[in-house]
Amino acid sequence: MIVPFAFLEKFILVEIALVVFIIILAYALKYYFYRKANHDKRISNQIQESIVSAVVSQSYPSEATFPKSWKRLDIILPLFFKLDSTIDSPHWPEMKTTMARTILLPVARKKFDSRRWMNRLYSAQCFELAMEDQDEAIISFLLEDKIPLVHLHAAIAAIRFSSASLINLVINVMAKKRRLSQTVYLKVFDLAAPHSQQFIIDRLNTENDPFIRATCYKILLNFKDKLPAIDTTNDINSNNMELRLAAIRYTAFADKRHAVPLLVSLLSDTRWEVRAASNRLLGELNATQAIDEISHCLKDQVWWVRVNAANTLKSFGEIGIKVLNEQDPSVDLYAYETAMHVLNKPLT
Amino acid sequence: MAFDWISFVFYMNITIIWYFLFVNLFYIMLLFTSIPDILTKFKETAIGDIDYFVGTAAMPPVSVLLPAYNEEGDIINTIESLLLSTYKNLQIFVINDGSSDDTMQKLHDNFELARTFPIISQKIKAVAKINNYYTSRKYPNLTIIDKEHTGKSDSLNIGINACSTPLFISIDADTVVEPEAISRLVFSLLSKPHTVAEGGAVYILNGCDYKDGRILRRRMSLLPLVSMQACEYLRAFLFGRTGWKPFNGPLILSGAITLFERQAVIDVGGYLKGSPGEDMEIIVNLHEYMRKHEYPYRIGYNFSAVAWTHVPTNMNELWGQRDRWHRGLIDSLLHHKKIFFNPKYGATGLVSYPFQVLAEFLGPMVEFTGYIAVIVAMYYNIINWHFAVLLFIASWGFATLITLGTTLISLISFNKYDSFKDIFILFLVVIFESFGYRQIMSLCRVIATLRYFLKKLIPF
Repeated sequence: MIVPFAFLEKFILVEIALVVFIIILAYALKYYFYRKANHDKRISNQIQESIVSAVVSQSYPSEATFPKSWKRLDIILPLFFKLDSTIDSPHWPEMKTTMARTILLPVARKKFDSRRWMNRLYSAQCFELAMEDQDEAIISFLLEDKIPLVHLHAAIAAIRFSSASLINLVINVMAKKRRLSQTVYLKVFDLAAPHSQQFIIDRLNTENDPFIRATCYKILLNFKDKLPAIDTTNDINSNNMELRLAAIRYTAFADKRHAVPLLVSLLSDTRWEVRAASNRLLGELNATQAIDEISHCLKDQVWWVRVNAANTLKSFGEIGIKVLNEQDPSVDLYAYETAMHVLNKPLT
Repeated sequence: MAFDWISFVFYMNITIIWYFLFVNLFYIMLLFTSIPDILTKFKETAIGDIDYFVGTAAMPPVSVLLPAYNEEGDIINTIESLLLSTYKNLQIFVINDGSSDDTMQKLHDNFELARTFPIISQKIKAVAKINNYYTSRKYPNLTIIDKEHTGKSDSLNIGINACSTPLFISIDADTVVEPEAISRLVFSLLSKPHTVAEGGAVYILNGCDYKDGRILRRRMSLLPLVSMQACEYLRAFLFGRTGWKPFNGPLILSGAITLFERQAVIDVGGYLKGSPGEDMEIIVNLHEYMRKHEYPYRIGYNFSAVAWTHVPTNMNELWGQRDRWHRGLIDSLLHHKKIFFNPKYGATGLVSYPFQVLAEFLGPMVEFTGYIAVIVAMYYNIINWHFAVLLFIASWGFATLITLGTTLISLISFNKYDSFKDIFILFLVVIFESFGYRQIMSLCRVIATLRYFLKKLIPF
C-alpha cells in the first residue's frame, strides 16, 4: 500500500497533538500577557500617583528619587500623553519637560540604537519632549532609520528643536523620501519655530542639488503667512521638472502681484507638465482675468493640460462654465470633449 | 488492451490522498509561520492606547473610500462608525454607485449635504459619469460622490481620483469599523518599511447588537449558516493571512477593510474594471508590479484592526457570494498567469501563486473527484470501510482540527467573542462544518469554475 494504515493513524495522532499544543500555548500566552499587563498597569498607576502629588506640591521628581523599575519609556510616555488631557495645572508642561530632561533622556540616549524598533521609537519620542545640543547626533541617526514611524518621530523632534543643523538634516532626508513621507514631513514643519524659515532660505542660497532646492520651496510654502520674495527665475527655467514645478508654485503664492503674468506666459511653455501646472495654479489663484488664455489651453494637444484648463474654468463658476458650454465640436473636438467631461455632460 | 478501471480508480485515490497530505502539510507550515506575527500582535494589542503613536495631526492624512450600491439599510451606520474613528486625519468619501433604492435620500437626511464643484483628477481611468458631488455641512470631512452605476471597481477608481491623500482605505458599505481600527492599520503600515497595503480582520456583524456606528454587544449568530461563516472568517483571517508573511504577504486582503498607499495603486492602474473579485485582483496586481520592477515592498496584515460586516443569511445569497468570489479568484489567477512558477517573481511566483492554484482553484474539484473516487473504490473493494474512515479523519478531519486550534487562538487572545455560549456554538460549528456545509461550498465552487470557463468558451 502506497499510503499505509499505520502512517494515516500516526498522521491523525500528530494532528491531535498539534491542536492540543496550540490550545495550551494560547492559554499560556494569554496568562503571560495578562500578568504582564497587570504588572505594567500597577507601575503606571504608581507613577501617575507620584506625578499628580508632585504637581500639587510642585516638588519635581528627580532622577535620584525616581525608582529604577519606573524608568520604563513604554509606560511613562503613554502616561504623559494621558496626563496631558487630565492634568489641568499650569505647572504640568514645565514639570513634564523637566522630567523628560532628567529622567527620560538618559534612558533614551541608551536605547536609540536598540535592535528593537519599538525602543528606537520610544527614544525618538523622548526627544520630542526635550533635547540638548549633544543629542543632535542621535537624532541624525534616528532620521535615517528604516522604520517610517521612527524617522517620522525623529523628524518631529528635529523640527521642534529647530536648530540650523537639524533643519538642514531633515531637508536632506526629506528630499530622498517617497511622497508618503514627504507629505508627513511637510505637515510636521507646521511645528517649526518661525526663525527656522531663515535656515531654509540660507540653504536655498547655497544648495545646487535640484531635488533639495525643490524640497526647500515646498517647505517654505508651509510658512504661509510670510513668504519671502526669492529670485526663482533660474529654477523656473531649470531642466529638472521637480524643481521647475516647485519654484513655479512657490512664486505663484509668494509673489501674487507678478504671478498671473508669469503663469500666463508659462501656458505656452514647451513642457506639458508646466502648462498643466500653470493652468491649475491660475485656478487656485482665481485668476479670472486670464480666462481667454486658459480657454485657449482647452485645445492643447496634451489631455492633462486640457483637463486642468477645463477644471480651472469650472472652478471660476458661471463665467468659466459659460466658456465650457460654448465649446463647439465642429471647431475643436478635443476642446469640446474635455469641456463636456468636466461638466459631466454627455457628448452629442 | 482493455482499460484497467480498477488500477485507474486505485491510483486516483492514491493521488488524491497525497494531494490532501501535501496541501494540509502546507497549512501546518502556514500555521507555524503565523506564530511570530501572532506573538507580535499579542504585544501590540496589549498597548492600551494606540493613538499615542499615531494620534498626532502630523500623521499622514487618510481617505476612506466607501463604495455603496443599494445600501440604504447599512450605509448610515457604516459612516457613523467611521466618524467615531480615533484617527485624527481622516477624510471620508462615499461613492454612491447609482443606487436605485433610498441610499442617496438617507445620506441627504442624515448629513445635510450641500452641492459643490468636483475637482477630480484622472490619474486612473474611470468611466462613470458623475451626477453630483456633495460635502456635508455637519461633518466637513465627509464627501459624497453620486455617480452612475458602473460597479465597485470603477467606484473605487473614482474615489482614488477624488482623494489627494497619500493613503486610502477601502471599506465595504455594510461594515462597522472599530474606532481604533484605522489607527492600528496606519500604525502597522508605518512600522515596517516599504508597505504598500495593510489588511484588517473581518468579523461577522449578524447577531451583534449595534447602534449609531457602535458595537454594543458582540455575539455569535444562532443561525447555523451564519455561525459556519463566522468560523470560516476566523480561520481565514488568522493564520490564512498571517502565515503568508515570509512570502511577501498574502495574495488576498479583504475588500471590507484594507489600507493602501495611493501612489502604488495609481502605478498599477487602479482597480481592474469588471473584475468579479477586485479585492484579490488589486493585491495580486501590486505583487506583480513590485516584483516586476524589483521595488522593495511589503503587503501586510493586522488582525487587531477589526471591522464587522454582514454576511448572507440564506443559502441563495451565500451561493451567489461564493460563486462571485471563486470567479474572482480564477479571473485574477488567469490575469496574472505569467507569475506562475516564474522565479522572477520570487516567493510570490514560486510559492504563493502556485499554492493558490493548487489549493484554492483546484482544491474544490479535487475534493469532489475524491468523493466520487472513494465511493467507486469502495464499490470495487479497492479500499475498505476502515481505510475510508481513516482517510476522512486525516483529510477533512484535519481541516476541522486546524480550525479548532486557530479559532481558540482567536477566542483566547483577542476576546472578540467572550461569552461561553458563543464559544460553545463555535465548537459545535467546527465539528459539524465538515458534514454538509463544506461539501455544498465545494460544489458551489466547482459549478462556479465550470460556469466561468463555459462563459469564456461560449460568451452569452
